[in-house]
Amino acid sequence: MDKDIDPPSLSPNSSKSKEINFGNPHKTLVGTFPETRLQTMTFIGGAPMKHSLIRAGFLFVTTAVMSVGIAFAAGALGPEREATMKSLNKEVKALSTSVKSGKFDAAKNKASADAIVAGLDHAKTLFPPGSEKAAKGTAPTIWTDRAGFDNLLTKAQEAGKGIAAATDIASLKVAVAAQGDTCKACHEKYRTANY
Amino acid sequence: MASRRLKTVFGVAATAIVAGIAGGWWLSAPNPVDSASLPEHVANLENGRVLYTAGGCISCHRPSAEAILAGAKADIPSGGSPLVTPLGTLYPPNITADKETGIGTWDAAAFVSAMQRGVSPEGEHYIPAFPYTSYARMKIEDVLDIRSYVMSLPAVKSPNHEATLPLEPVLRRGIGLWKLVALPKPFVPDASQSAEWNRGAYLVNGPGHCGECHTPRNALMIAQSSNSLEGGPHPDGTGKVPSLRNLIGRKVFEDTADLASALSEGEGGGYEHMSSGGMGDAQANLSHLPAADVAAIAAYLTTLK
Repeated sequence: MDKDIDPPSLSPNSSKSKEINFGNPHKTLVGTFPETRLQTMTFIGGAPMKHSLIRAGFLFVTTAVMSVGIAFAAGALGPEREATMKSLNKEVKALSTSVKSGKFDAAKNKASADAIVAGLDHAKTLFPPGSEKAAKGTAPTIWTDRAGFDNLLTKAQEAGKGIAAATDIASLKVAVAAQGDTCKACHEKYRTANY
Repeated sequence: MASRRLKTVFGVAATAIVAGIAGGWWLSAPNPVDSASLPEHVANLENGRVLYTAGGCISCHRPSAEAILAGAKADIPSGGSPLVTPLGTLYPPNITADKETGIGTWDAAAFVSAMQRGVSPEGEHYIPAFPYTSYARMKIEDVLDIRSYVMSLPAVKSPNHEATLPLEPVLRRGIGLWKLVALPKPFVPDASQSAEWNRGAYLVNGPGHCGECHTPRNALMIAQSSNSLEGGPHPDGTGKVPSLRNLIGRKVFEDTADLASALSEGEGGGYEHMSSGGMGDAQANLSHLPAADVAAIAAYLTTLK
């Protein structure tokens, strides 16, 4: 049971590979260095029963990573980001229209503000690590300067709450302009002209 | 004999090369404005302020983020904020009236030479990230008014950074040749159009320098006036710049008033695509222009087919 510290021989017929018994779940391989990737995978697949938890964990991680990868590959994030941003823009547009109309409707403002805060909560989940290349229009600094990006999303939510707090057309006008400023601040820095 | 012919060939080639370099040197020479050629003009500070805003000077000549943290005023053009270009990183200089680090010692001719000919008081060509290829279209009196306004701002001591550019002396001299083709003629109003339209055309093509991004460039990086404001690849290298032509026909905006609102309100008015790729700075400046000027810009743009 010596630990094998020499580099593994590449020859499939070396004395070291003779120790391996493919597919037998009851043979423990100790002290033998797996020489090929197939041997490694089979080793894990053929591990004895007490290592099944490790095997299950390995399979779970693989599936999870693959699903996220498939989501990226399927291009789900790009359209989802766009739809979320468009819904936020719709709210700001409606608020801007109501400011111009001069009609103050506190309930409508609150509904818009809540939609903005919720939309931004959702937006926060749409830029996970690893999604740098998922869609066009994102600057790499979203991920390299994550704190700055998250900060601007939070500031945008605070502006949304400011809209709910407006008491008349004059204060609503200020609040909506402030909301627009937060949209702009983030887009200037973190959105590229890739559309 | 072969060696004598070879010597002749070399001699002719060498002469041609030297002549070519001398000719190129002469053609690419800086062409500053002569003080004597400047018109008599009484400064109009308000006009200078409006055109300084339309010109977007602060967007490039603002202080760096570090300087602002150290107390510099973000709305005073003391320069230093890095401008990353495909050629290298530039540091737009201090254009406040400081005599040591700003333009306090520049006379009117030096200012006009910079703004409209792209030539520094030291006789160097400026990298055309400084949009003198648009400012060249402006009236000299307007450029003089901008100078008066800028000189009226607080003088700030802020030393300039050297640009990081490859083969800088060759590059700058080469720009002298480039300018022979790239510098446009001054703006001439269209007599068949309204005063408002002409004001809009002047603002867009002169101080507004919209075409610097929105007009596509050829292989020599010269903006193609035959494709004016058609959009194309973003000059920064990433993404696209939209076309400003046929805006209403393509249903990008409902009407002229809608475009004017977009320019002055930006995302705060629920308008999209008004912030990224550098448009945020442009829109911020537009939001500070008089309403009549924004209306004029919209009136001009919406007539482009």
